[in-house]
Amino acid sequence: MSTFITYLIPGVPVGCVYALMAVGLVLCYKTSGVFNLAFGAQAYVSALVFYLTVESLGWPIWAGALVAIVLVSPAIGVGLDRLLFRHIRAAPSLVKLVVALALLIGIPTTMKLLFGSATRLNPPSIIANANVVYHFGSYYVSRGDVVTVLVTLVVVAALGILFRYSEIGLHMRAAVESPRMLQLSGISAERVGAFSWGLSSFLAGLAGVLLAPLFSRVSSLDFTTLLVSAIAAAALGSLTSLPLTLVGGIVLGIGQAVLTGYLPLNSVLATGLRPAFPFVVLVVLLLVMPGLRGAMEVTDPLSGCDPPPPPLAASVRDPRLDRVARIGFPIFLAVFVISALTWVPSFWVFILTQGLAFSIMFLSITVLTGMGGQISLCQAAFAGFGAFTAGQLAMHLGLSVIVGALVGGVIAAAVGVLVAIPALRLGGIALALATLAFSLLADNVLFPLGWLGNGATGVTVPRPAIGPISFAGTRAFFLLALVALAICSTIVIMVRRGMTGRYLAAIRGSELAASTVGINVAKQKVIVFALSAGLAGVGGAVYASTQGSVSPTDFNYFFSLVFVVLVVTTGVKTVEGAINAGMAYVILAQLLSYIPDHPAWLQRFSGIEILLFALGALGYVIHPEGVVEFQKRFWTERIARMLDRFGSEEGEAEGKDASDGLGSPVAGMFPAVPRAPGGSGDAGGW
Amino acid sequence: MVDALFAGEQLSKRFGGVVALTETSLEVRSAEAVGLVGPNGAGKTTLFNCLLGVVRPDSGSVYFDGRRIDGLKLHQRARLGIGRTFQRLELFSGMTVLDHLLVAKRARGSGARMWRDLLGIGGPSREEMDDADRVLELVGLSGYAHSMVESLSLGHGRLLELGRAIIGRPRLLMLDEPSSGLDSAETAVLVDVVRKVRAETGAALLLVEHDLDMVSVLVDRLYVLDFGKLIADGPIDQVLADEAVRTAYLGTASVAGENSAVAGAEAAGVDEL
Ligand SMILES: Nc1ncnc2c1ncn2[C@@H]1O[C@H](COP(=O)(O)OP(=O)(O)OP(=O)(O)O)[C@@H](O)[C@H]1O
Ligand SMILES: [Mg+2]
Repeated sequence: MSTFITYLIPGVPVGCVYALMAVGLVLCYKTSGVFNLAFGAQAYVSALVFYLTVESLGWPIWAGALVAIVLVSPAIGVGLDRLLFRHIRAAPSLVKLVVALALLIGIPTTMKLLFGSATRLNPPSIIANANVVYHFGSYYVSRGDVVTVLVTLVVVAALGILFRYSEIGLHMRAAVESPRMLQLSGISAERVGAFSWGLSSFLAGLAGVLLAPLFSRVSSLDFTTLLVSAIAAAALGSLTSLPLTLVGGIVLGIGQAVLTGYLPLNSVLATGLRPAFPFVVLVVLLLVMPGLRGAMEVTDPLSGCDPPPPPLAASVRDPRLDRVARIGFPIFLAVFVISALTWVPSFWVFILTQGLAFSIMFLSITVLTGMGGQISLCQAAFAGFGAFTAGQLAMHLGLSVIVGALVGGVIAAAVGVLVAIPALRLGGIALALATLAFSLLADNVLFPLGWLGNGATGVTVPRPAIGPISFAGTRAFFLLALVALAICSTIVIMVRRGMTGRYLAAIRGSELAASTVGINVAKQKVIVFALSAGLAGVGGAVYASTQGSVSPTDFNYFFSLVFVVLVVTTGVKTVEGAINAGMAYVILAQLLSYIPDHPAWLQRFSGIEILLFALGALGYVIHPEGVVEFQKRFWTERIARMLDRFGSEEGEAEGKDASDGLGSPVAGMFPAVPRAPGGSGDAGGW
Repeated sequence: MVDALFAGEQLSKRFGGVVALTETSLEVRSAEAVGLVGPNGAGKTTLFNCLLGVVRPDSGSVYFDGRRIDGLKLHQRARLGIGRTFQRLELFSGMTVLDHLLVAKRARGSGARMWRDLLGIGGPSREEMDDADRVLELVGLSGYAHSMVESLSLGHGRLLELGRAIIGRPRLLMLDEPSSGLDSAETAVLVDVVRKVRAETGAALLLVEHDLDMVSVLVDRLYVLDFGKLIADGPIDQVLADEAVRTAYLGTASVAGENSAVAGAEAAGVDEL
């Protein structure tokens, strides 16, 4: 018993920090409808600002705290509300989630750009003499822990009073119901929204500064873990009750601490399960609490008044441009392949091969998100399953990586089915969180296993040979990867053009109507998850063989987030969107790595490609179809209009005929371009 | 009971404090046309949803062809041969009119097979295309086959929903206020289509409708629902003559037509929001 309490005590203050963040999350979610994953990054910013002011500039602690918690953090929150979230209030939850994801990965990169990436050791504590220890019999607690708990209790109590007794609290509760309704009754919903964003960001900042000293250095990754722990705590409080959220946070903190105490030291379970614990709790909660899933799908009852998103470029495609594309694309492809096989330096061919591998992985997002309408934050983990399978089969059984990639794809698909079965009951944000949890479980518990990812050592994955033809050379392997991408793209295109694609489009359009005509929606979702995971697995194996060896860090959860943001930026609905994303990712990263080391500030720009994509994903606010997709539509319309003007000089009738509805901004609303019979709704693109 | 094609027995449903249905029983025999009327909020849509498994009733049971189907999921009930339309349009947004029909046709037939799609033979067959063309012509949407549903008017949307419901040749057609928001010409087309389909396939009909003219044209037997309870059922003229029904729902006979016009206009206004 006494050991139990010894283990338990340090868990309480950690749990309190989880709870603070969780309360901010719930507050923001309830009043603005945004499940703000970026709070993880905002907590990091506060911790960083506190470190910089106190340690680097030598400010007194109170001044640093004032700036970090009271000024910077709420300012970021209010700014995000103003610039972004206010405008997507009525958007589908997918859009909000992607924007929050983009911020979660974009904000730390921005910080690196602003303040450099020096390692910042031993974060200071905000509490004076935090290390003084009080003894209670055989137990002892530090002053820091006591103050943390007290601060949390005071803050939660103050919030409770604010909601119950103040006017702004009343308005916030009204905003939870419907901000539009609030607006109609003459209260500025924007002001209420800004207040709640400021308040919840203050909580995130407070949590960040309080949490920082627990780690040996200030690193953004630790704060993502904080974020998910907070989500689990919020889930324990059903996303509604403040006291329950507080209890939830403390229970999690204690659970984690006790688990660490009892698990054997240095085993995979101890090192892996501790960080994964909140996620396991989260998944279990999502599965056993049906009401929670309902609570996660808040929508404004008046949100249906907004216009639907603009159509895909494919739907306004001009037949004349189609003709150009039909001739131009094969020429481009031929030039690309011949160049890669001849004059392009072999190092760049290697980079392009990586791009092909990523393109295959990104096709999995085209399938799942673009066609299936689901969002998953564990695609990198699926890729990992494919890569490690191929590597292990090659190492132990001497199987060719080509066979390994196929088996890896099948195994990844099987894992996908296992993930999909709970996913069927979730959907939306809950699905995203559950897959994120699976990602972390894979990172921390599964991939370190010797027979799978083999921990830090990783697995070696040789290049394959078919009979006498070896693909070990850079250019030969490039060709092989290109063939793999072509096959995978064909699979995606065929599925989309066929009946399965139409079924998925129907389910995206209305699940209720789809099942009313007799479609087994659950089965289709499992199928799309399996296909998606399988493609990711094949892509992972191709990537592994490109690299020669891979380790779990190559398929870290962070990549899953980056993948989604990337593909959304370039266009989640088309195969070319995935390929653009794959190529842009590796090429940009390589170009940025050429930035010289001197002067030192220039070096900060080296990892900035993530930020560029994050910014691109923020463009999702304006162009839900993806920025690249938008540009394509824009130029299609523009060129079509130019052709019209050109044509009308030659023959009046023909020009008029062609311009009918095509160049107008509402072109997508009307069937300007007759489609070939059998073309599915969004199958115009390839 | 035995001779009924589709029957709900003693169905009850509450939503929190709202009692939407209390021990309501209803049956539709083969090839029969039955109407279900009642004031707004009477529980007609809820009854539809309970019968089809969209919402789970608190108690009661549902039979199709003499077999208990409470355990069946929504799509399984649909595959028994039930087509339905919705009071608030439920179209597949982002899809073309033709694809709506092809998907519905396939879902009642062999289903989608991914391996067939991969071989390029999974697309719609000749027969399916012909069937879709025939239905398009029947509901008068031939000119819109390749339009996105977003561009359809409300009336065309309702006709498309009807087409989607009948393309699988259902044995029972369930329509939830099909004429709401339609002008009289569109309503006439709708009535015409329903009659043709029933004459051709012998499908039974369960119709929820405020427009009593339409009800009396299409239906032989009528149920009246008020506050979740059945207050009358029987042959249509008998029910419409019933004193209790007139006071609860219809007002006097002379106002009936007006009532339905108002209800139609209201529904149209709501739908256009
Ligand atoms: N999902 C739901 N949650 C809560 N209450 C509901 C729900 N669905 C229906 N109700 C309530 O149940 C009652 C019956 O509604 P229902 O839609 O079945 O009526 P209706 O007869 O179809 O009315 P109308 O003619 O307006 O379509 C109403 O009071 C309605 O508010
Ligand atoms: Mg109704």
